[in-house]
Amino acid sequence: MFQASLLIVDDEAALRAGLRDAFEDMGYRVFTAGSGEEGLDILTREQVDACTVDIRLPGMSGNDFIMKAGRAYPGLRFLVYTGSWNYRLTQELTALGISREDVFSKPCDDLALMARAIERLLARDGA
Amino acid sequence: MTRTSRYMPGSALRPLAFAFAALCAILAHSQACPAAGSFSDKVLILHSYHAGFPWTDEIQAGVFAEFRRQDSHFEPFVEYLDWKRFPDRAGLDRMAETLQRKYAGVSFGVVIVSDNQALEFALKHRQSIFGGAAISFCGINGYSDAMVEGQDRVSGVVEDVDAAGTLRTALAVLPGTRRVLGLVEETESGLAQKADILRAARREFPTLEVFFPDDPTLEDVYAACTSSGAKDTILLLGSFGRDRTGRIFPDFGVDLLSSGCATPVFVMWDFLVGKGAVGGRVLSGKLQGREAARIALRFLAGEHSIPVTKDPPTQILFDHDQLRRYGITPSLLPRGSLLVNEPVTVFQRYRDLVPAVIVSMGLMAAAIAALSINILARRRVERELEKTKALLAAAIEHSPAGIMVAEAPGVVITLANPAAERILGFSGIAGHALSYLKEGDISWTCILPDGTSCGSSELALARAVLTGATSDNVEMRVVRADGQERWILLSSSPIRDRDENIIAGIIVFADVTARKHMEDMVIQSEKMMSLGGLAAGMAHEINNPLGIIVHCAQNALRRISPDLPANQEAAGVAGTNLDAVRAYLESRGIITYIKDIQEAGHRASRIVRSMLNFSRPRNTERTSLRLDALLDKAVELAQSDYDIKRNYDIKKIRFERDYDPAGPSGFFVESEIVQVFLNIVKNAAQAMAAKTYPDGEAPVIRLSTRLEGGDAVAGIEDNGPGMDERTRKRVMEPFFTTKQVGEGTGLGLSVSYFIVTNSYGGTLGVRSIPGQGTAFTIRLPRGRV
Repeated sequence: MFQASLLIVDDEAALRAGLRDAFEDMGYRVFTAGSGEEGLDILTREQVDACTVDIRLPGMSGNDFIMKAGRAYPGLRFLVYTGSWNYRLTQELTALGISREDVFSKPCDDLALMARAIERLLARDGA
Repeated sequence: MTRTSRYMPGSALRPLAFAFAALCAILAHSQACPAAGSFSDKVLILHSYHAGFPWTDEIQAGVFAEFRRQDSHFEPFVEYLDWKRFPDRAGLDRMAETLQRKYAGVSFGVVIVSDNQALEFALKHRQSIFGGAAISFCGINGYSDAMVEGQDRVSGVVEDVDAAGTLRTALAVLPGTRRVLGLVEETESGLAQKADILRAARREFPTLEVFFPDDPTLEDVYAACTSSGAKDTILLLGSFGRDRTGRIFPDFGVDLLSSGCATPVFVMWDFLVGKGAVGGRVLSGKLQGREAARIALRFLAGEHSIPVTKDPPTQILFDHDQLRRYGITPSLLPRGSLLVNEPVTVFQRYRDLVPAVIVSMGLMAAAIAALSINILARRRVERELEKTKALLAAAIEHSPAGIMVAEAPGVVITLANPAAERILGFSGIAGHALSYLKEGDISWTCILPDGTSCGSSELALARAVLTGATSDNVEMRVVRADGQERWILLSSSPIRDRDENIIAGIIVFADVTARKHMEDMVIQSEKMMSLGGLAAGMAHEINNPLGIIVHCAQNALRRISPDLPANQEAAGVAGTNLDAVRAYLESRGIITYIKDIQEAGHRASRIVRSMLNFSRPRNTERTSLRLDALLDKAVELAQSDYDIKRNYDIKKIRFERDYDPAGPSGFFVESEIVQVFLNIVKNAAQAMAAKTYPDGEAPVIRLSTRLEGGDAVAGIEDNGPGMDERTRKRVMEPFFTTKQVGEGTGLGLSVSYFIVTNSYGGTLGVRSIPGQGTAFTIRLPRGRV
């Protein structure tokens, strides 16, 4: 069966681990990165279909990571998962095809909702 | 002056003499000049007639007057020949002998003689009696230089009447005169006068008809007056001492003529004026005497040759009574005229009293003026006082502050201005004792800052009157008879009289209820603002750990779930099976723990999200929306809300709508206003669920809209359990909740309040009566219309 691969970029280790376990249980192949730079590094080595990205990160911001990764890998899909309440999508991100529906606020009460969003993104891609 | 200088022998003394003479002249008016010395023993006055004869007395008076200007003690020798009564030449000779003996040792400087007889006598006996003294004469009729032929140092003044002057005078005052009836006696002097008069008339008034009756009797004259027609005739009276019949007329009969004839009588001697004559240019004994004295003084000063005064001094004299009799106005009188019988005016009669009267009247006028000024000043003060009173009354009447005055000793209210009655909610209290407020019909409570209510004697007004206590800006709460509550800021003070006795007390107070509410709101608003800022900063930091909690709990539950094949596998690898693990976890309550952790995470997450609403940026466009539609939407949301449906039977609540048909609208963000309404409706529903309604009553929420003062106003009113004062005051406070722990965040109304006041500049008001219900009023400025 097709196993989609997911990159989780978040500076909070426990949160990374929680998301990893959840999405692995849901059948994803999961990579994790503690920063944008680490994430970009993983993308050079691994085949990744979608990323969940925290915005406030040490070093490169989540937005910058999405910009860079999105341009480098046009097929890559992104969910924003941020603790910042007043997060607003920039025009560049909107230009990459990211919409308000792809933005989730921490904490997401039910990770199944995020999983469904990822499936939607990948399904759109596959269609 | 030059006269005296002639006596000075040396020229060296001349300046001194001149100065001395000048001094004499200066002093001459007030006292005798010492150089002139006493003239008394150098002068003899010899009269032809007798003392008491007016003419003679007048001459003597004139002489005295002139001499006394230089010698105030002038007291000459005086002799009378008494010729009128004793015309006897032998008598004169006897008298000469007597005088010769009498004045043997006297050396005369000058002899002044009056009238012809005396001159004749003096010249005859000049050496024998008078030692050759100089002679100065006056009153000489028919004078001719021959009379003094061969004599030196003899001079004087003649007594020639001024016929021409008298005619001129008569014609000046009676210009219509055509005829002159002259009257003289058949004597030498009389005939001389007649010739004089005729001459003067011919010379100056040629058209005038002048006639003299021949040696007439008085009766002849009367007849002549009558026949001549009084209108244009005057009678000119000369010497008329006796008539043909030998009757003697003292004063020439002027009185008889004046009363007997209608013709105005003009005369030429002054003593006839005042006795019936109209007037004339008259000789006067006094002037004759003065002139003779002046000449005598010149002889005494050493002059030898002095010409005879042939034009004797005269004066124009009139009788005021006669002027009036003939209708002659005084304005016609020639300049320099003198008047006799002039009526004395009141002013003249009381001349001496006038200054005193003027002074006393002046003083009285001054006193009246002073009193008037005093009265005016007092009136002005009274007017000022009235004005001040009116101003004060107006100030009290219209003062926004309540003012009450109570008088000692009964603490009877004498003044309560309209503001006082409005604030404290009573009327017509003036005249009552203060205790009326407490014990009378008005139930009324005053609550002090410490929360205790005070009795009537403890009221500030009572304390001011009874104990003189003052208070300054004390804040207190008043519960009025109508149940309304007012906050007042009160100052009180006693009013004392000048002896420091307390006569009354006054309180002044302002209604600060609105300010108190405003303060509450400001405090509320500040709480909100600080919370908003805090929330925005904290949110991110809290959300990460919350994410961990929520995700881990979810993961934990999933990983003991039998639904996940990996779980079974892992259990097998661990040498157990999933059912055993689950059984264990359940028996120890661990699954419940995890579920609780998850639920707590969810709750914390909701709280944070609510908090974040405080600093929601305005990224949403405002559109024109109707309040009624927004209320309906909020109700719809409430009815479909899972939480509400689960816990409260919202279907039981009846919604009544009282919407303004005009549909008040404004520019709002839909989600914000709906959230405001929803929070209130949710709270109402939750509160009403806790109330047990009596039969026949059901839970009702009344929704209303209206326009008020340009604002859109929405009302949400329930008949729920209501709130007490403490709860009502805190209901907007963040985290304040009356619900069970876990049921509410305590933020719903805070958020509503924050949105209404902060985002829209409106107000969110709440009224509540415990047991009866709560009413919220949402007032929103309509924004851009």
